Amino acid sequence: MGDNEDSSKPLEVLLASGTVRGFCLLKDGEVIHEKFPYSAARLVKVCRVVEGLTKEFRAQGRSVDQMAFGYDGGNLLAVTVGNYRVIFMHLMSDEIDFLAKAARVHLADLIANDKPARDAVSLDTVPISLVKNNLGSDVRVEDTARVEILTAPPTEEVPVAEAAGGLSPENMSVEDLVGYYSSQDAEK
Amino acid sequence: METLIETESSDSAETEPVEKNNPNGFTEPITPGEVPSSVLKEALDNETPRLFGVSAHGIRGRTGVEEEAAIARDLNAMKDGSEAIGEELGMETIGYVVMYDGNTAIAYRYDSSSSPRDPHLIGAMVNRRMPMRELLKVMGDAV
Repeated sequence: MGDNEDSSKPLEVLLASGTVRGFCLLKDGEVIHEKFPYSAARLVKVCRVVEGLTKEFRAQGRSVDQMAFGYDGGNLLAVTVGNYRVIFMHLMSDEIDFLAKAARVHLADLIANDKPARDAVSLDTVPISLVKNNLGSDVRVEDTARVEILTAPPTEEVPVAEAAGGLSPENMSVEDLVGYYSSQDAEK
Repeated sequence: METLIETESSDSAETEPVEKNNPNGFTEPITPGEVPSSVLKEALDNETPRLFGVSAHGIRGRTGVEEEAAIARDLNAMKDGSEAIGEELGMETIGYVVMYDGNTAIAYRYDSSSSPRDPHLIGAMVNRRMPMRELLKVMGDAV
């Protein structure tokens, strides 16, 4: 739900200003976020009517992408862009065009930043359950996939401190290190 | 659901001219069946709204029976939808409905001065995405 709330933040700004009393954001016909002054059941029925009208016109080869309904108690505006739709409930009919423009910009932005579905990103096309398979680094459930880790080539051996007077972590200083590496370079 | 708008057949129209009784100030008689292509062409060229008077008895416009039939079908669909939504939200008095169909704007608005028993509507169609507010104002002026 967090992503959906983020995607609706600009709409919530509209809710706090003007005469907008509620909104509902739909994707592929499903309500993904709503702040509507009616019960969810009523909202779903309203969404179905809007969807039904759109489908009816689409069946005639037409593309109805914006509808506004005016009533004695308020106005309803439905704006569709791609697979997204916003339905506003607002009080002043003068705000229709402004709200429609704002909705179009927001929906176009949502489409541009649409993330691929989570299921599409999985290893070997099988979603991995982190809860079930999280059994520690050395233990894994049979038949689960393990990503092969490319091992790095062996690094140069660390110089071993000589027995007497050699470098050891206890008596090592920056100057010693500088001297060591410069002597290595000279040998090369 | 009962259909509010019924398009008149052109058969009865041939016999006698019909006086336009819509509230748009159109007083000249137009014989249904006649296609006033010049009026339609002018409206399309200027992208001005074509207005229609709508009641339970029929729909009247100045741009021909084909347009009347087309807008009657759309208005019936829009009216059914707006009634269903209004019923659900507890707002049963419908003021207007506007929609954009591609580059065409289609709308209807109730004539508040008409009798509730025999409500009249103003329908409008324009071949551009005219701002909805402006379209409602044009219809309001016609009312």
